[in-house]
Amino acid sequence: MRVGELLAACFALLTAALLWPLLTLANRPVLVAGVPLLVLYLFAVWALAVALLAWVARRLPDEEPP
Amino acid sequence: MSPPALVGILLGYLVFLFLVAAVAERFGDRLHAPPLRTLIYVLATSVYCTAWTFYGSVGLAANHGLEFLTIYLGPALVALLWPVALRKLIRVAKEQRTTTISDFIASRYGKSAGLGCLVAALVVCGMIPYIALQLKAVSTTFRMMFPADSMLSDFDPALLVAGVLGLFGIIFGARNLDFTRRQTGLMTAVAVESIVKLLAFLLAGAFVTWGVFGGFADIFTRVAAHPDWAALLTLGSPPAASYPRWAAMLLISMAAVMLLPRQFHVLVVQNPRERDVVTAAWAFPLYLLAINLFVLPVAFGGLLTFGGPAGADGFILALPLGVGADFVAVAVFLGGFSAATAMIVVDSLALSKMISNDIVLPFILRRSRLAEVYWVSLASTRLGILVVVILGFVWAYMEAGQLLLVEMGLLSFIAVTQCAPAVFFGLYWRGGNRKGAFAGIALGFAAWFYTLIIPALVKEGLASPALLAEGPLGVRWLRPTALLGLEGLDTLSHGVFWSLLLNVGAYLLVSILTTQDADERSQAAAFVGGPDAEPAAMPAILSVPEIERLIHLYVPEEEADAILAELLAGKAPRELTVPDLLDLRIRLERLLAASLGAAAARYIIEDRFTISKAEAGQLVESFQAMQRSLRQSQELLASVVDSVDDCIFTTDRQGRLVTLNAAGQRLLGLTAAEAATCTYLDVLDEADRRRVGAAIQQMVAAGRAWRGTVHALTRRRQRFPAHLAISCVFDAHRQVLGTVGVLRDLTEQVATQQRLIQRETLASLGEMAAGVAHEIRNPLGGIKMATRLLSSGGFDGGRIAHEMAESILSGIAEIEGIVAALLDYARETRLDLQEYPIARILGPVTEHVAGEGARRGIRVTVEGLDGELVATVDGPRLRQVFVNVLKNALEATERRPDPRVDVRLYGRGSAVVVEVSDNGAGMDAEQREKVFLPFFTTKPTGTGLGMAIVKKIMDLHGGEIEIDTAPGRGTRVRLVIPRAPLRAPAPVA
Repeated sequence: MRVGELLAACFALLTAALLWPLLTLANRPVLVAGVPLLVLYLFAVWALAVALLAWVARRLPDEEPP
Repeated sequence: MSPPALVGILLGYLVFLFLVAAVAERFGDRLHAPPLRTLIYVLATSVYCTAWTFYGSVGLAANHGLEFLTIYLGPALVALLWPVALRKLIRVAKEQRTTTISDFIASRYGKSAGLGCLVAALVVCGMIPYIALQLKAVSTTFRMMFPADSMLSDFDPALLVAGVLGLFGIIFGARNLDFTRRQTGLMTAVAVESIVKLLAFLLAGAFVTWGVFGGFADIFTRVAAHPDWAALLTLGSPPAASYPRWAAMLLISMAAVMLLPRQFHVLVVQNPRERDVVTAAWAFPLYLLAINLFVLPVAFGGLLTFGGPAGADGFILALPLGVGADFVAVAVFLGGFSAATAMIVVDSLALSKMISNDIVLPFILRRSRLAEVYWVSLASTRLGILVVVILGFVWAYMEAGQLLLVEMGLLSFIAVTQCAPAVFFGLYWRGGNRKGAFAGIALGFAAWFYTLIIPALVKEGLASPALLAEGPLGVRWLRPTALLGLEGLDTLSHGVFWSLLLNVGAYLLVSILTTQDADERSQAAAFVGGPDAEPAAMPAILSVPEIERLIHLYVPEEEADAILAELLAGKAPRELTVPDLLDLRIRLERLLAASLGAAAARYIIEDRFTISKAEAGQLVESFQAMQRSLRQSQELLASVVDSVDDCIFTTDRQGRLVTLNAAGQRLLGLTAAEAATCTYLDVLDEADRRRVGAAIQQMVAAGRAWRGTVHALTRRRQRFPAHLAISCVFDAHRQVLGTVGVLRDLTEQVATQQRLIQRETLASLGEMAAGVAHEIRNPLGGIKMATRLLSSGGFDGGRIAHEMAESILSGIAEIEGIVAALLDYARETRLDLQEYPIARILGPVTEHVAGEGARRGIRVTVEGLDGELVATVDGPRLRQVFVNVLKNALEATERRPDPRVDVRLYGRGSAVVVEVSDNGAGMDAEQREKVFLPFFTTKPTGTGLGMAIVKKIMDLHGGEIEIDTAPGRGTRVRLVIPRAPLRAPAPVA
């Protein structure tokens, strides 16, 4: 697994998800289950980044690189 | 809540912090084990969440909606790059032993003291407001805790807190100068504070959300229904952030989370193990997520309760206080206090290091040579902590309170972001140079000041508002918030845009347009990776006593010896070679850099111990002489290689020919260009390639040598015999670089050998022919005489005629015997091998010989016949061997005084030995040499084939004949018969 490239790509994609214009998709005055859509969206992206990194951390070898 | 109780809690908490740190120092070893160590690292990283998070986020959310989240979303996003980019930054920082962000930049750009000084000064300026903000939060929240008319309403704990925290930093942080060492107590205290602030925030958030209100939905629904506040739930329309502001804040928080002095200290300098970054990469964003869960509910709950955003920074405290929940209020106060103290401690520590190493120390070193730089430096670091904390306090005291907490923090964030291009381009682009970094950072900070600080000063009432509206001196295109007339951006994104554009632009352009010096090149290589740059000038070499003196000067006495031992790595000073000393110098410089910073360490080493001009001249001269003699010996070697007659070649690791000397080209008929397409196996003929090719490759792969006789092949496919020796060539690290081979043409040698063999064969053939002729001539003489007599007539039928005929017949019989013996000798003999007890063959022979000897008066003794020695032999032929040898012995002893022959049979290893000794005439060396030649004889009688036959039969058995003899001293013949014959596996008894 080429972790470096994968993470760089995810960084680019998730950053794009948090910028104009993608952000406008979630930027609506709508409440979902009483919580604003935009808030849910931001926290979801956030949790996705955490989950991705946790998943990568479990797969990365434990030893120091040479 | 009574004020004295709160002061008590505050002091109690500070004591608790000291205790945690002291206990952690005491039991530090247990905290260095993996799970705890990583946990402490992750929690300490959360020093990112300061009082600003605690109070400022709520204030920002109440005023501008969701934009506060960017401060935490940016780090969560950039954490995706941590397992690679931050890890590299940490690796490089550790290798270079850098301790601050200014030191890192100075080190990257050629250990430049000027650049370090610039960055340190600017970062310190940028950070003081941030520290002020923490102290302000402490005093503000302290006052909020009790009614305004109480007896302590004039008491401001900020100064007390600042002093105590300064002390804490000195005791647990600046214990010694080397900040790369574990500051276990400090880190553990910061980690514990991270737990305190998280728990406090979660408690307060849950209390507000479910205790005061009816859950998330309740709060959000009511805010969404409010005409003024509904806009806070989305982006793009005021008062919520615009998209550019949102993007700018994401960007600066990405940089700040790694480059803020406290973040760099905790995340990079105090990183226990590179791998822990990978854990921090998910655990830290998770912490941020948790601590932000209740920011919106608290902010909106405050709006709903207090009817507007006034005093929003204090909502989280005001809400529980408003409903009389004192316990929650105290918890929040402590949470905010812990967030503030952690930040103040770590930030003041990191800043004091910058001040000491990058501002004070170079200045002191240039002014005078202080013998005790260590103590001066330590004192300036410790004093620096106090100075930073006090400056923060003064700022907080002066600041009138127009700016929100968050605005102050953001200015610091943007300030530190100005370091990002120099740091990250510096990690990945070797072309970035000192002048570029200098220009970028200087311009970036200038733009930061002009576009962000001036508007802030205007807001504070310290500058005229006309400056913003009309521009300086009325020059409109220079308006600080609309530079070059760029309008439509808010102040913050405008400032971020211009400062970073100018910063990156200047960095790139100046780097591209100017050149690097040798120091910059070598540091760029060390930071970015890739091939090492060529060494700068001949670096100064320090002698071991000099190094010792240096260490004692800059390191406290008790550690100096340990460090010296580590540096020398178990070598005695006298064993050190010049490369060792060079390496020692580099490591010493790094060691000093950990304490004093890269620039000062370079300065100390260069200045104190750089050799004088005259010495440098001598060094250069001797270096040139060395190079000259090296070149000469290279030329000599080349001419030697070219002038030898043997083919000498070198190959790479795959065996492809790299060089081939002139003799080799001649021998193999290859030109140098053709040779490049061959491997060493191509010079062997097909049969040899199959026979030894694999063996050679194996040996080379194992790094060993191979030699042997082969048939080589020229380009015209002519075979010639040759001796090939191939051995491996290694580099300094014992890695196989390739092979060097010598191919010697054996054509001449083989021909000479064959001629020799031929000559010897001819010679022995001649001797044999002479022997045969001699043997045959005697009987022929008799026949001739008899025949002549007969032919002269007169003997018709008489007795004489009969005798003559008899004599002819006997002569012919004798010749026949010789011919038969010769034929017998010459015939190809095949052995009929069987297992025989040797005694059974030898017994009858010796019995017969003993009888014969007795008749001639020779004593024959036999020994060892009772043994059970068995060998696989051809019995009848071996019998003949024994007969011949014994007969010779008998004949040799005849007419000698007291003649005797001794026969012994015994075993020797895997052979049976029959030893026949006589005390006869013996032989001289010449006779001894010819004893096995056919028709060679020292005796008047006999054919001279006896010993030749013995030799032949023994050879067929694979046996050996050992002869000890000297004239007049008798002869001892040992027949060594193998028990199992060669090439015929037989059961061994």
